Amino acid sequence: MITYEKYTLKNGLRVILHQDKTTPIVAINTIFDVGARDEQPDKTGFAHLFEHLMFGGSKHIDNYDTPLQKAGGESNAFTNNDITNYYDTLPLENLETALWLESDRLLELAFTDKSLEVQRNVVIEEFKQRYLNQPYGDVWLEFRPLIFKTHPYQWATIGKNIDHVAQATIADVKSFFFKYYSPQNAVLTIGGNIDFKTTRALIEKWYENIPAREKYIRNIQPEPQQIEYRTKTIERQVTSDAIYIAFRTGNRKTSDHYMGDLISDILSGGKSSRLYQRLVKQNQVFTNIQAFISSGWEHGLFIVSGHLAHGVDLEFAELALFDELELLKTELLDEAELQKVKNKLETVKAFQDQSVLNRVMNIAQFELLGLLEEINEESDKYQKITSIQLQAYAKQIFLKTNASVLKIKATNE
Amino acid sequence: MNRAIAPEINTIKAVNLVFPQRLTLTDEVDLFWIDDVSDETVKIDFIWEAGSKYQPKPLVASFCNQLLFSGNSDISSMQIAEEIDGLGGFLSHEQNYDHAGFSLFGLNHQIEQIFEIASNAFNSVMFPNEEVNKLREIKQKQFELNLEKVNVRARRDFIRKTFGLNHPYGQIADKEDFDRINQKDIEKFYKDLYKTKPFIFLVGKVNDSFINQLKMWVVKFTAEKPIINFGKINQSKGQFYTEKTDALQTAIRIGRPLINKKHADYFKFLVLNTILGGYFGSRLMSNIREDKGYTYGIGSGVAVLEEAAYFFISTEVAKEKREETIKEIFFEINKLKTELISEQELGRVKNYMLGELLRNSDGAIAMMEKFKNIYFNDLKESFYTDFIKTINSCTAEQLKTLSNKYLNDADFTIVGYG
Repeated sequence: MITYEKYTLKNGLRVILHQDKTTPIVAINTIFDVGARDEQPDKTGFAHLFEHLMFGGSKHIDNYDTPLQKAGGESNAFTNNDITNYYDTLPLENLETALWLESDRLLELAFTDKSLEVQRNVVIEEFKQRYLNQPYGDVWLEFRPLIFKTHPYQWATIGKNIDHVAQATIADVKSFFFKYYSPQNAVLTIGGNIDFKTTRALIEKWYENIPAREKYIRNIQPEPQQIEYRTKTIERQVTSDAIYIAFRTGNRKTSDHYMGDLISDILSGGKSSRLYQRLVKQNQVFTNIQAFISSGWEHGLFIVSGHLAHGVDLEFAELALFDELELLKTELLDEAELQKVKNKLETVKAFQDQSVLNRVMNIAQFELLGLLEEINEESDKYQKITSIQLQAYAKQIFLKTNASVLKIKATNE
Repeated sequence: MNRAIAPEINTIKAVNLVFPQRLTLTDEVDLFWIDDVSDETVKIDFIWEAGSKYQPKPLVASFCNQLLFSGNSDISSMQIAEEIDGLGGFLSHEQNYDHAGFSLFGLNHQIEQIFEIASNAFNSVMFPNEEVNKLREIKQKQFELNLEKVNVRARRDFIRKTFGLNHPYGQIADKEDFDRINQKDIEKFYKDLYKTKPFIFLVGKVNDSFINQLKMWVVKFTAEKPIINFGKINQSKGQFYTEKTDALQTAIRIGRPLINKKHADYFKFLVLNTILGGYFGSRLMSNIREDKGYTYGIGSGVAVLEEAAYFFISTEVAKEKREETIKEIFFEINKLKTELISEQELGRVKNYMLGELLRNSDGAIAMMEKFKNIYFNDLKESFYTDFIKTINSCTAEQLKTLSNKYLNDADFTIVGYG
């Protein structure tokens, strides 16, 4: 049971406090309502580049990490298509240091040329290391535009191509900050063995005088429903052929998220799962296979992907996958199989909830989603799902006309 | 309120470590148990001295470990997985150079049933040929895929050069080894190594009935550990670069053999390591990432195994910056040998390390890992208290002396791949 207290400052900053008496660490999380989805098609990769710049010094403090390390703290951040999230963990006694640092960079970044220059290069190296220099690294750069024709989800957080980031200017960066990084667009969440009264006072001290600035009103056109089967084949220097199939689903806020999550576990959650048993172990179609959901806040996806076993051709593999998905439409799951994945989910949740940082991140995301009041209902939502509902999900989602298929032909086998 | 002035900092005085209670299950086998857990989770690790250093040829130890639940003529691997999954259980396999085993995760109201299934499966495993062949196929494909990654290649080359091909630590598998391994090798390894006494670590609130289950199970583990002379490691010093024509980045690994955790210099060396490359504000990160932008990440570390230890620096950089990067790395090492670290920087590193210790001792599972470190390395119970003392008391002079002792250019192995 996650308990919390929520309030809002005059400048629009939402604050949520969560107490955990068992840990000596305090976790401070700041989430901003901006992600790759908010970028312009000719200026992609900016939200992520900006995340890097947030560590390059603020108005009164020339380096973010140094004072935090001095206080025994650690900091990191991540950006995705929907949001940007910053988090610090440090000994409880030094909470104020984190608030001082976070509030100063929310007030205003330093915007130095040096910082932009360096982080540009760092992001370019990140692009190479994670996407270009890895086998199958650029799959999603190829796959996204197949699935999303008009919506910003068509580009990945790292950017459509590295030139956009390479050409970013200080003016671009400044305008990004003032447009998206306002207290009104942020949620500050703190978790640990905190005293609420003193914590509130510290927050008031450091955050009250930050101007409210502009509220960002998002206006993104939804991607139209998909009505035709789409496929694309690319060649890469990899060691086996691979296939990725994506189906459009409802977004994170819909029941599709929970249904898809359960189905992905039925299909590939562990060694007793269907795809592993039937397509890897028994019938040797794949050497590895995954089914997973991508619960975008605007649009969701259900994805199946795998590397083909030697000698298996891509058309055959695709058929085998569609056959398995067809079974979910024609046969009701038996209770034991459904209960199995529900039980595993309970175990996972229990272990994940042990971390105060995880809890604080969840609280932040639920608040931004507008679902904070339901944060303790997650288990229930999963447990209540019936096999009839899952069959209906399968019938609606696993259609050829709702599928985008990316095939990778190995030139290195 | 003045934003230009940092709030006062409180230094960490102590880290509250809870050690497990020790329960005797049999004359041979102890159970280490932390039950101060505020939820229903249970994690239990079973560890044997069955690491790859004991294997007669490459891959035997890892295949045996992966196939511990591959079933027998009565119950298949699929059924075992189905039953454990059905109870909301998770089974994970671990294996390294020295140890191997498995862990069970579950909720306390199901852990006894989960253990019942797992332990029966473990006792009666027969390593069916089809399971061996299937694993071979999957692992071989994974191996081929991994060989396409520059960091994997650099690590392999580095390990071989640091330990030498005659030491078990330097014997890394090659593609051909996958076809050389068979069911008999695996079964023999299981019989020789997994019937020795297990080491058991339990985190969670469980009933006496679970403890009794464990007691009954461990009576069979009475085999003697094999006595093997592992020989000395044989490092090849110098530079070794292999180009990969289409690579955009080069992976670099630099390092040398080092002292183990009992050595008087160990704690101080960890401080030195942190300064050089052990955190985001390190010398290497500040120079090669934050100043030059050559890389997404660079770091250094200390790895201590049972038979040997080594220090390493690793990074992936833009290919055209390989030589520059190596030059800068040695520039930073040289700075440590010739200039005293400032009080300011040293103070920051000390506080960071204490904060890190606090972070990775947070919660019962983390504390058990700390205990396992002490237990397996045969360290004093005061190890972490002593560590904190050394962090607080070490001086810039001591660190400079230490870098001159352990960071001589001529002692390093430098590998590049990509």
